[in-house]
Amino acid sequence: MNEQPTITRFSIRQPIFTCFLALLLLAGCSDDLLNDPTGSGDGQVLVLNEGNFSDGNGSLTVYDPDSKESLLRAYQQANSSEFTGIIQSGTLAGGDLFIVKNNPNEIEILDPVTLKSNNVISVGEQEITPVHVVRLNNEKGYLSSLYDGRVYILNLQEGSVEEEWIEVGNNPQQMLIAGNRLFVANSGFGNDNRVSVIDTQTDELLTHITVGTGPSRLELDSNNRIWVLSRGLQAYDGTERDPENDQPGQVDLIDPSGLSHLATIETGGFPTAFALDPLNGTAWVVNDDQVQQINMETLSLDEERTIDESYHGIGFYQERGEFYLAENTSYEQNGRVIVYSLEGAPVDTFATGIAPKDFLFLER
Amino acid sequence: MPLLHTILQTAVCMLFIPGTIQALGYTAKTPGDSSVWNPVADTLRTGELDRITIRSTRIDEPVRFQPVRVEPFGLEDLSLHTGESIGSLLSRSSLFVRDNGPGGMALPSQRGLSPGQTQVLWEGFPINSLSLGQSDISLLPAALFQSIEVSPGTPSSSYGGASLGGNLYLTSRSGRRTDATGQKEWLSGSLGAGAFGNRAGSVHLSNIGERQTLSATLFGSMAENDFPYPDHRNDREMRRENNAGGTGHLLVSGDRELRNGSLSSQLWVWDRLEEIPGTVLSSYPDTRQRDLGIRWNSHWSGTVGRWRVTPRLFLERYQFTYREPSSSIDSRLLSDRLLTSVEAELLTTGTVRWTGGVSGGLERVDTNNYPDTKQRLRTAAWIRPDITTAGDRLRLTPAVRIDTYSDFGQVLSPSLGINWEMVPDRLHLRGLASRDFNPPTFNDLHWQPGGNPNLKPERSIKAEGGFYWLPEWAGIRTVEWTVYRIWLNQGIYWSPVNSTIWSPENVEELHARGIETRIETEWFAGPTRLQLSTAADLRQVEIGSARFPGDQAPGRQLRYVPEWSFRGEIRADTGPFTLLTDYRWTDRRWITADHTSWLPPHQIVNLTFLLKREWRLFTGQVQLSIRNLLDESYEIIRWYPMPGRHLEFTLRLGLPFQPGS
Repeated sequence: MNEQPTITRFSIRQPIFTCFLALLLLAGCSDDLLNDPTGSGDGQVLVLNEGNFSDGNGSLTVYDPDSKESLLRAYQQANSSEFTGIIQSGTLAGGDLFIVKNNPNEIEILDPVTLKSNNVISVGEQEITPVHVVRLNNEKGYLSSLYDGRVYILNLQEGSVEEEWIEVGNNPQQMLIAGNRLFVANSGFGNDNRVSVIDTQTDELLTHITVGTGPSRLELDSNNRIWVLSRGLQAYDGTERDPENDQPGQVDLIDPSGLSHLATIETGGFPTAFALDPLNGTAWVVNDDQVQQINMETLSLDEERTIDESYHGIGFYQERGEFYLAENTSYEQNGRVIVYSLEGAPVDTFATGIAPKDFLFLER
Repeated sequence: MPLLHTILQTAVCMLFIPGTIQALGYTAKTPGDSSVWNPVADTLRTGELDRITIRSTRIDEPVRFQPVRVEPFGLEDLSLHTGESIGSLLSRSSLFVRDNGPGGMALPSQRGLSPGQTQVLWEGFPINSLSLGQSDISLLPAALFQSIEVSPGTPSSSYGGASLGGNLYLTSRSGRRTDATGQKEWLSGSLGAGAFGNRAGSVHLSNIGERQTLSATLFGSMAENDFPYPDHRNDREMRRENNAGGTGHLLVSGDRELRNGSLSSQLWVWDRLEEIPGTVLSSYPDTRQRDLGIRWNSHWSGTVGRWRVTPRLFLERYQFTYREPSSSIDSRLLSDRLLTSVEAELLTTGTVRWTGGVSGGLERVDTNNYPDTKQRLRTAAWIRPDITTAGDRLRLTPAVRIDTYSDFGQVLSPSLGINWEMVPDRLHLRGLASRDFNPPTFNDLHWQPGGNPNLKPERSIKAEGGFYWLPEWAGIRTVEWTVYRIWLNQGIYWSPVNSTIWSPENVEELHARGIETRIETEWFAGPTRLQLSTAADLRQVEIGSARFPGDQAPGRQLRYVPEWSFRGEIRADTGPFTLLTDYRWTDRRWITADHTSWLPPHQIVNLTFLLKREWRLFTGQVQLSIRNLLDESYEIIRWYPMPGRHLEFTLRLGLPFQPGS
């Protein structure tokens, strides 16, 4: 059994803590990475910064956890041109990094090490609003499209979108391939509660699995269970909040083989992101103004070990035993990331682009 | 560097050009030497301003007697932009137009404040969008108006809220009102054509009688707006797509002199259908927007005992639809305004001239973005004793206004203005201090989800001072210098509540300060008149305090506000020919609040050539304009390119006198 870290409640608003973070932020500002965007250590952390929609100013930030140096706009450094677009998601697969963007609606394929842009698949003319890409093999991938309730098939050899598509649920977002099946979270912005299952050999819709309200994120754990994060629904009566009709978010577990629903963990609130920590058997959930922990064995919330802060995204760096929390101050200015040890102590912080959202961890 | 750049440019234009002109043999106009006036080139910009009574401040005096700076534009200025919206004209003023390019929105920003904080008035009534608070001036064709006043310092005590950044005052074109030359036109029309499929036409007809006039102005335009622009991302040239549109306006105006007063009425109907191109990063080929509306205002003005009384009525119905099929957006809005007011002025020859009034009305918005139809009632009362003393050389204009809104309560707006004619007919010192407000918009209050019905009005303290100098020396006609400060609190700021919902709160604090300078000169050489004007504006607008934990914006210049801008115009009139060149340099604009990215400065030169001829009773005018002569590649708003060098041609015909008159 893994040793559980000891985490107590702490707040970033405490002055000493804030000063510490400020010092870390200053210490971490170095130009060294400018000469080598891939860093010099054993791995690197890639932060996907969403950007502001009207400005199309998403960005990629690279962080070297060994030297604790970061490169704020790594794409620009690698490609000598501005990154353009709003980042919806990033997928590492088959030696490629797929960055899915809106405004413009396209998929940019990068070398994950050098961040050099290798290809761009534009989907704007098809009126696809791309959200997430998964790769099945060298030839084929899938693309979820937010507003038309479809999953499109990507021809990765030609770098194009096939003319066929698969109808799924409302506002599909993140997808995941497990075995010969593609799982699609249909968020419906709180008006759907299904995960669609597609046969990747026939591209036919097999079934829908009912989960919590507003499923948006999927993760496969080491026990071959799919974790589904549902955001819930914040109800309004007119412009007034109507908490009585809220549908809180939750986490569901699905068996991808038997296509059965395994369990529900009631998180309450409206969770927006999560990360699995298989080393310690902990699922970290960003939920409103706190980060919750779920024991992945007992499937229970650990009420005592909650971080009382609001974050925009979370990632767990398994090889280093660190988790990363993204702080989005607003969509008009840069955000930052705070790195925590498993003991719950902040070990570093670094500036990012606007609206840091997701993390990708690259090991050499 | 921008500061140095501007100082140098200003120095060159303001100091060296007059000397150079004199060296070339031009002479300055001397007062009373009317024989040297070019008979076809009369303009508001050259000393005729005393003929113009300013309306934008409610202080019915010429520009130089106002306590604040006002830039009036008259019919001749407007006629240079007959086929366009007033946006292109106003970019020649101190107002900064946040222009999304041809076919897109154009929003006025004064003294660095947001477009929703600039009040746009038509015949004294507000026409800002009820839902958004701002006014899209691309919807306002120049052909409809007789004059426009740009008045960034007008306080809320004059026309109520939404005036933290002053106002724009639009006066309809009508038969009764004459232009600066005193000329009345019976029939006139224009046809224009330009690059990118631009076509525009207007007809103005007046029936001028002894005691009544009736006029109608019809305007229509259509454009493809498919101009080329450089796609820097892919190093290629692209064309703007899905950017076509057309618009039609009809303005009918009538005036009648009565035995005990006068009656005036205007009706304005318009319809516009547009494709929406979005940014150059997106493609929304099926997106369409339609704006349809009708406005009517009417007033009677007459004497009742010792009072001149003016009751007014204003009605507006506006319909807006926006459909974006790819994102399943179908936004519909219907808004109504019914406003009425009664103004009274005590007719006296004493030191104090009392004016005041009451107003009230109903505003209503029905849209599928709110849970149900929303409305607000508003009433106001104001009083202003205009004090003229010290041998008519000192004018004090204290005023107080109280506004009551059904949704957020009462607001008190006091102000005190001063104008001191320090040197008779030469130098005026002026200043005004005021407490102003901006009501929350219907979207701020009721947008679903996220609207905050508990919002309070934005408040500000505004102060400006400066001088207006008519030196009549070395060709210099007028010199204006104004310095201002604005302290804004309870600013409404939208921020994300969670990943999908944004909500507004009264958390923003702004500090604005700036300097506005303007010099106008006029020169003559034989039959040739040369007019030069230069202006430089400094605006420093900063977020005053953190709006949320970790806010990096305090102390930094606001987004999309150029710190410096510089304008220069040269106009040469000789015989029937006129050549007009205008130059604008605009400082960089920050895109992000933490100043990590920006749009670079840009400079624009426009060249206009005019030929005026008379044939029997008719007057004719041919206008050829080269816009963006230097082919500058620039954006005012990120990802909305502006067109490069292009041509516009306009033919105008007029019949000045009514047959038989």
